[in-house]
Amino acid sequence: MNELHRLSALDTAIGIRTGRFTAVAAAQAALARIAAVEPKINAFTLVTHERAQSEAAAVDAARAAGASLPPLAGVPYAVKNLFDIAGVATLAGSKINRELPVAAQDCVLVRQMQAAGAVLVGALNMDEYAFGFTTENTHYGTTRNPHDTTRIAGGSSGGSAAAVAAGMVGLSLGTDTNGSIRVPASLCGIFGIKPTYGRLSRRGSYPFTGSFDHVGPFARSAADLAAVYDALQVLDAQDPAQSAAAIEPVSAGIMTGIDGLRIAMAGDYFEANAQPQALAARDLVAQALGATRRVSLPEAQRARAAAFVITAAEGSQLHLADLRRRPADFEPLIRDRFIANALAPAAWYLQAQRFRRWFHAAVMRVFEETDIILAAATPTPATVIGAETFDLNGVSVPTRPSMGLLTQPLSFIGLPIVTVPVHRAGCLPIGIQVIARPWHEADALRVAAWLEREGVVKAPVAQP
Amino acid sequence: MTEDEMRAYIIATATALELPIAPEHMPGVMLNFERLAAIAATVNAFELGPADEPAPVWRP
Repeated sequence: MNELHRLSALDTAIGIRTGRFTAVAAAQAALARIAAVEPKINAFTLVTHERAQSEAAAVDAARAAGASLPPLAGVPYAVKNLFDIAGVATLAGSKINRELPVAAQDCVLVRQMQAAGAVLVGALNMDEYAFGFTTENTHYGTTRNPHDTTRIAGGSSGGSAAAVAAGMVGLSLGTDTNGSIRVPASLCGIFGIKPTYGRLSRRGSYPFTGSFDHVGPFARSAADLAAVYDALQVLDAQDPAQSAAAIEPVSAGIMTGIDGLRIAMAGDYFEANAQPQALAARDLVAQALGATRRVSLPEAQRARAAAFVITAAEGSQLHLADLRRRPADFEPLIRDRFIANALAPAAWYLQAQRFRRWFHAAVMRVFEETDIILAAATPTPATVIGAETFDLNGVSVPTRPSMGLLTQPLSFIGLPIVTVPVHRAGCLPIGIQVIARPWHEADALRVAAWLEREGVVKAPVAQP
Repeated sequence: MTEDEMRAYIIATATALELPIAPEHMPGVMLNFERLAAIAATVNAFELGPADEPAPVWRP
């Protein structure tokens, strides 16, 4: 039973449902794996031993009583530390938030996970206030990549991706404003989904940039990802941005293959800003899918710039009171950027918001002839911790903002995207974005499941 | 914007926002504002029509 941590989430649930092992045994296996691996990775800021034991025992008691178990019953998971957990301060990667009162109740997504039977084992490290792509956090330490602990895990949901990649949990939750699910999924070699903006409730998660804050899960298989995505869906009128018209479960349809899907590669900007290794992985996926056509998302570079401006204005305004009172308590790596961003004139912000409408309309025209667009998720595989720059096709670019070059233009308009992991011999993993039209998460998950079945993408447990 | 003009803008706007900037943070703030201004210039150069309104709540 000491290999339970290697099971997929769904196999764990099946094992518990069929009585092969208990939920308590699965929780203990996860806690043992965390104890063994966490010192090398630093993914967790809190391990919730008591809650894990109690939730797991409740699953076992329900089974013993003959109750029908929910789909993720007994599956250990953890959440980025910006999600409210009852009785815990919601750090959002910061020192400042340690002083906030503890959360009175779980956030909506943790409540959904609990309703699905999943077992919470902890809270996960992140860039302070989600402002970063590297999870180099001065307050709580850097989260290390399980495939090479000298390298970054990506961010801002770095703990969420590293914990899944290292087999400490089978599922985790994160957020993605400009790439914070897709970047760490790419660098850690696992699956992640950033659903359509407005699909999942963000209530009870600490915000960053409301205009494009998304929440979503990570997993080591497409089926697990679909299962947890289904579990997270709930209509919530109290999230002002939620606009999903209905709950649309996808799990039952993800193995239906790719027939009928028109698949293309994103050219131009998305190729110019990818290193050869990223393009090789993209090509591998495209060839497997028979995708030979390129599409151009017009003004993608400007879209990335506009996302940058909106993030600057909204992200800094949110923290203006603390920037006034206690700038020394902010993450030193981003404090000066936060202050500078607070000074952006309103005209810049509004021009970027108006451009967003234009870009959305232009991209929707591309989707008239295409169902799925492929692009690398990061310009490069994981860089070395502390690296200020990396080489992007002969140009030295700053690491921290540039990891989001290929993700930012897409979350800018709220497209649903599944990141699929490509592992090639002798190379670090890298992710490919499977981009669908708004509200068509099911198409992207179908492609992910097909690629996994064909052996093109996979997410093996890393042994750090 | 020249460097002096940028410094003057930063000081004036920070004053309006009641946001004190410690002297040791000023070089980093200047550097980051210069980068932001360059990125914003890309967006500002795009011609939009009066019908291109921002969406109060984004509905993809």
